[in-house]
Amino acid sequence: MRQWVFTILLVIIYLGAWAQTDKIISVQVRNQQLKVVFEQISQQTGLYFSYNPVIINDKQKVTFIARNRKASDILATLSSELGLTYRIVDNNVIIRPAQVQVEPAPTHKQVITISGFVLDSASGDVIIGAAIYVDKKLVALSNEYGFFSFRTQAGQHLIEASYIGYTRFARTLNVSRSRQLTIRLAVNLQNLDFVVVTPEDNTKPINHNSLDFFNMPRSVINRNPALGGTYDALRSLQAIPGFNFYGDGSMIFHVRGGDRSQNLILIDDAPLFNPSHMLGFFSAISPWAVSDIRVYKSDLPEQYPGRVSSVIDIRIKQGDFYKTHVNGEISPILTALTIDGPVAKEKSSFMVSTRMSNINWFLENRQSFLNLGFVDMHTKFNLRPDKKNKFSVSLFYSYDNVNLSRDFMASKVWWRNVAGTFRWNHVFSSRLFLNTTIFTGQYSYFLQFEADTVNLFNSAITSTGLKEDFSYKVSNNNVLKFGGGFTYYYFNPANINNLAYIPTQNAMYYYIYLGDKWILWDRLKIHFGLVAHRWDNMGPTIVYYYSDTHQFLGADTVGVQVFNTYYALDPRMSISYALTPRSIVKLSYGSYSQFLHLLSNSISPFTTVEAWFPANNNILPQKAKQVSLGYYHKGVSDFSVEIYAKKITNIPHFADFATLLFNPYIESKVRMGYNFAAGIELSLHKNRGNFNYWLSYTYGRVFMKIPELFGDYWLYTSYDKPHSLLLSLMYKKDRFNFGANWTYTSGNRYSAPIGYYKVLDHYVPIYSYPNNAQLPPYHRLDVYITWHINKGTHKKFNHYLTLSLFNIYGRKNPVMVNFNKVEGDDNFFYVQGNYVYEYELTPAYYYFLRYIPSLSYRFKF
Amino acid sequence: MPRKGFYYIFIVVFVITIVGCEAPFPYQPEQSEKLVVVEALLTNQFKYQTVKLSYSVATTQDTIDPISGATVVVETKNSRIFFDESDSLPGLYISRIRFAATIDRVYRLYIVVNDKVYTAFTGVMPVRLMDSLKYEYIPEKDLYRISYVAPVFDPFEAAMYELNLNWSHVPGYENKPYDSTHARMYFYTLRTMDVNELFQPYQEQVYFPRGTVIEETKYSLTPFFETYLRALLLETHWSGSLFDVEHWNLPTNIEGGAIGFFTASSVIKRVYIVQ
Repeated sequence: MRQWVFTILLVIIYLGAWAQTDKIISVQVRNQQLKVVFEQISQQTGLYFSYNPVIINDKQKVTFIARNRKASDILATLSSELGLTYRIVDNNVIIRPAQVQVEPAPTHKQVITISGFVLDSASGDVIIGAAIYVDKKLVALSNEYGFFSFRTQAGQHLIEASYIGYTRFARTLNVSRSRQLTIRLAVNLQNLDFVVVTPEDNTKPINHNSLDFFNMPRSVINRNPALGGTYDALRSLQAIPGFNFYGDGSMIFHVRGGDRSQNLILIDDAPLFNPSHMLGFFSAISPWAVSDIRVYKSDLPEQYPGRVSSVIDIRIKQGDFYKTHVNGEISPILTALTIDGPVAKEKSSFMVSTRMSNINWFLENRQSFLNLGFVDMHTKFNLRPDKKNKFSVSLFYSYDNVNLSRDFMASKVWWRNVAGTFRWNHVFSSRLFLNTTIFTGQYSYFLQFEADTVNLFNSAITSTGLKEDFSYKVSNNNVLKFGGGFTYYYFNPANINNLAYIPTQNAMYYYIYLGDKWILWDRLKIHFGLVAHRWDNMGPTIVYYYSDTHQFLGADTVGVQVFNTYYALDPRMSISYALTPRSIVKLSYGSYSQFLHLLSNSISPFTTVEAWFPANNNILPQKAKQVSLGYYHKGVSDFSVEIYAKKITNIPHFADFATLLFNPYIESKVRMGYNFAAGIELSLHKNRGNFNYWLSYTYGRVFMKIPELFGDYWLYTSYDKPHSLLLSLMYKKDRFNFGANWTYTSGNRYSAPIGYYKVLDHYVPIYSYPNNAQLPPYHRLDVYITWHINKGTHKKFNHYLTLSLFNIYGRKNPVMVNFNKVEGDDNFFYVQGNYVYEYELTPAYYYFLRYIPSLSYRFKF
Repeated sequence: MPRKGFYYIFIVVFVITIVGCEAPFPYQPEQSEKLVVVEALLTNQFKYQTVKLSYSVATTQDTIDPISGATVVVETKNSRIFFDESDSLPGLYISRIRFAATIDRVYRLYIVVNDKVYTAFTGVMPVRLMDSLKYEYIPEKDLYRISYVAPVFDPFEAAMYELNLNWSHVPGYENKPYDSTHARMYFYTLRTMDVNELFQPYQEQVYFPRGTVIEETKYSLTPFFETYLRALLLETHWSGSLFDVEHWNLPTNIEGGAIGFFTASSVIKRVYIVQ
């Protein structure tokens, strides 16, 4: 009987302790002593901590934040990160150092490999680009899928990991054989969605690998509200020197003198061909869905071939593997909702994020001559069946429409992006990692003229492909990447009601690559890469043949067969050298090929008629060669300067007044030109502390030649804008964030008439050469304040208000100039309609977006 | 605030900020030489045909200088027709005889200005019957306006339409100035479609009273003249929208360095009285 009572008492005690450890609690400790963590847990659970202060240093400074988690989870995470073990007896948590596994001592220093994934401790999402250190020495960065591996000698090591916005992970391990390790980093901020403070570990030296790309984590994306108080994932790229945006209302950007089609935008490896919403005022990428953006503008990586100017690699959030979250936003422009959470805890997760325009709600069916609307949706599902395999399915959809009704006609344009990815990550061994991606996507552009009719213009590009990316860790200092892939493209360049005025085209693109990054003597890093391309134009289609003078020679109807093939071999290499532990110089050279062309004669900043076209027997593939030299310094503020020179050949231009729509001979109107670009880029930024700043400046020039149209003369490009500057200041005080951004760029170039003549009662302009004039400089100042409404920091429900003022001094920034309008008495500009009387034309310019206040509300729970 | 009032305030703010505003743009053109401009449109009407010669100007505020003293000749088959300059309208050259351009012939133009020779040639295309134009009543103004002339896109025929409107005889308008009682408008049907045609900028509307006489003339277009007019529209009617395209000089079929055009059209006419 006594035994039974004793047993029952033990069970009750255990269950009581279990119930206490299963309580949902929150802990928030920033850079305070460990015992403060214990105190917070004790206060919420009633548990008492018991440990030997001689062995457990409870005065060590730690940062630990966990919200609304089970006490048992928190104890497990805490002990895991500090290298401790715990046991609960009655109401006591007994803490001890983790048992060091005593394994047979190796007879000689055995080399082992440790590999695994870096995860967000709260959500389970992978962390890309986290730096892994062994005994204070950088040995690896987590890759695009959060995977890392490094080799070290058996024995006891201090293993550390850090990433911007996360608490540094530090743990001493005694290892005698190769093993897997999951590193969980805890967010060290209360809310990365709006807080700007990012106390990255500043004690580590600059590393070579981090110079290969520009990382734009969500904390930076969601730093500055854009137009309408909303955040904009792509617009945030203007903080990167070398990225030159067209201006207000446009998502067109040029990178180091390249044209807009030369930027490869990937959403989870699926290409995106038009990232614009509302003609270009906003981007179609929801910032709430983005996990991380990596931007490459020099030394483009081998695994993302196919474009010649930049790669923008957007990774979508995986969703929380432990807990369901809801995020929302309401602003005058849009309403957004994001839900993510586990499907099976720790094994699978989902994320759904959607945004919808509020503009059309106001405009729809209300006699307005203009109607605009958009919607987008990101979804992702992830599955981790075991430590060696990960699967994910990612889908993206965006839709835009613009209706314009005027006296004589009503027109409508709409466009649609669809992209889907299936991905499988497999760890073959601690040294060999494979990513397999199957992707598909389509961009369609529709134009309906005289909206009550069935006349419908459509252009589209569809791509479907497979890619295999292997990563092999030869040693800590040598990573070999290799792989390949193929993509099937379908082009519908420009047709009406599915009638093939212009034959549709098909192409297959194959590539294989090899790249090796090798660090020698800690100071020198060499990167060598090689990409081999093959491009096949395929039927069924009609193949047109033209003479050297672009005269039509004939056409053939071909079936399902290859009728034209291009091969290309693109080497690239870079050498970086650490002058000091905090400064590096880097020299890179790369050769790149692009087999897709965007044929457009538009000078509009907006999304307009454009047709993607393949390189084929009439249009050569684009080629680029770029060399750049940079110096990087990491300190209290990070500083970089880079100079570059780039030549891009076979850029398509249209002959004068070429007809783009319904023109089967469109290829005969294409004239090849080339660009030469050079410039210097400076960047200075501080991301730590309560006061942050970001300064980027570019002086860059880009000129073009189109020999067949303008002979051997260098001409200005419309995007030759020498000066580009962004100054961003941020300050955090209590629950408020204050910020100001000042943007300055040289004006766009345009073609201005040097005279007129009059025929058929019309004044006709006369031009000297293209882009002979330049608009006044573009500049504006935006300010914002974000208020975290919650007083407490442990609230389950958090909400924020952002008040922003765009273009605070109301600068009238010219976007476009026209020379064909008459100014009426009411200062309204119009095209002459009655030609019976004499008239004078007044040059006029469009400007947008002055003094735009916005109030947006965001919440999360 | 009433919901409707809120809506209108929103629309105004939205249009001003997003759709944007236009303002005069200070611009000084580069210095450029004056070019010889030829405007020569022959028709199949049996009449005195005309050729207009002028010089280009730096700005539209400048006065257009006519070209006087030029030699103008049109040649076809074995005949050569001389043009003489009008006494009342300098720069306008009128054929010495009446003649009609016919579709089975090629016409060659010779112009001599200051010892420089400019030449061009053209054929004539036939013209098809035209649709009836439509006009509509605008109650707010108690006036009418044109609502339809021809389709903007026709894959089979390109044409230009010139409307001459006269309401000087309508009671209440008898003593008004000429340009208050007359209008000339142009419309076009092309075999091509351009996006800035669909999103063209606002064009001045012409309102006229009941009783207005509308004379509609349809011109057939040669392939060159169709190309020329499309380019002209791209640079005039359709330019300045938010979907503009690259700008460049209009093509010309005048050889020798002049600009402008020489073409010939088949023409049909119809007269309407606004009822």
